[in-house]
Amino acid sequence: MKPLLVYWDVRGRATYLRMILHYAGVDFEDKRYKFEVTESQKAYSDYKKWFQEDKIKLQGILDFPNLPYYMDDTVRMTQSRAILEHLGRKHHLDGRNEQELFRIDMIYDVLADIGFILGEIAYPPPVENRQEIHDKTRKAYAETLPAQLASISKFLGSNDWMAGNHLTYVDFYAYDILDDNRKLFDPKHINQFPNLVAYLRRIEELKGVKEFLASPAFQPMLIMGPLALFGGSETRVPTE
Amino acid sequence: MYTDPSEYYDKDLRNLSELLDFPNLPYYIDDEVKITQSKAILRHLGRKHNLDGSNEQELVRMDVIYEQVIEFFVALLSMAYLPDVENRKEIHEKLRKQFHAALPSKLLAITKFLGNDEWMGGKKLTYIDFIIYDVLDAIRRLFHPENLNAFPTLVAYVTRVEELKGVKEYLASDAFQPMPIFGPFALFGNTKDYTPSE
Repeated sequence: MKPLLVYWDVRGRATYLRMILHYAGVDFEDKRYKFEVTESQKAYSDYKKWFQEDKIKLQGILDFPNLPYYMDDTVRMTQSRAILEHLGRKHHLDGRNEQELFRIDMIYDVLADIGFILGEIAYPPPVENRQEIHDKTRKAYAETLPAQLASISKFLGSNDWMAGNHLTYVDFYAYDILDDNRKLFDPKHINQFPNLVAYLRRIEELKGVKEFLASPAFQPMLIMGPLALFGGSETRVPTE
Repeated sequence: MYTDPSEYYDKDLRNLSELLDFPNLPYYIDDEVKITQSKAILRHLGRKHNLDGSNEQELVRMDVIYEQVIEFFVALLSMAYLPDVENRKEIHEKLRKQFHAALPSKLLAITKFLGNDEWMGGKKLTYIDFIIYDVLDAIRRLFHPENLNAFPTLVAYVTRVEELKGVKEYLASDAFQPMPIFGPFALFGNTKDYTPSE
């Protein structure tokens, strides 16, 4: 079967999976559930189809039906990190020795902590003062951003890639998280770190990746869904 | 083990910044490596001590269940440490009750995933079993144990991990303190004698 990747029609947790598949030259189906925001600001259409129909139909096929999910001739799986690691092993983009392996794991968790916080900021609990919570958490995070970028910059050092000398699956994840930050927050923060800017450019130039990022399928500004308090719209000017 | 935050933050952190790329707790140092980030440490130890997956199917199973179960733990962490707004207790109650309502279906899915296997990867004990144990144990302390007891397969699994040589002795020792799970300023699970509400 043609490998199948399924997710919402946003960047979210699929961009790095799309990137690694494009880099590896895989002819895959990039299926997306679309959002369509109605006048009452409630997303519906494919949203309902996923939650009320398709997710239920996938019970028995996937252990934990969720988006993203990935299927090919050998696996049927969920969880974006698990999918990324599977594709990393499959397409020879994994660490090659102990040092590379734990470098990958360390930076992955550091980046994942950032990704998690961005999600929490974007989607505060459904209470009346959620805008207040969003503003508070967004500002608090922005204050930590320079120091976080500094330690990632130091970790990368003069290496071309996060693991060291070799491109690995974690570089696609790092691209996405770092790019999220320069879209959701003022790019001046990341511009303080020339090695990170060069690193992002290096990934953007990879054959397969370059074409994908230039295509309509990438949607650079649609990081979160349309109901998120930031990252869900094409036109947004960062406030920090 | 650190018992006093100032020992870490005021004293050791400066020195650790020299040694570690991302100074944090936990950290692990041996002859070959200096690592932070608990999954990175766990995987390194897994590879070192023959507790890693041995084929693609096991590796995929391990990664999927890890991510799934960690999502639960992260949700619990999130509701334990909410932003400092006036209605944080109210928000916490809401989130905790929601989590509890969804608990049976979550535990059922994990039970089905484990199936007839002894270990989460399949036939072989791997490093993943230690962290799955830890989260399931946290759930039966943050919520009434009967929530987990409704799933005998999971209770048997948890017991199986507890009976492992080395683990058994550690869990019986003073070095293992089952509670508190979260720090003193968390909104639940923050005291030795914490009693679950549901």
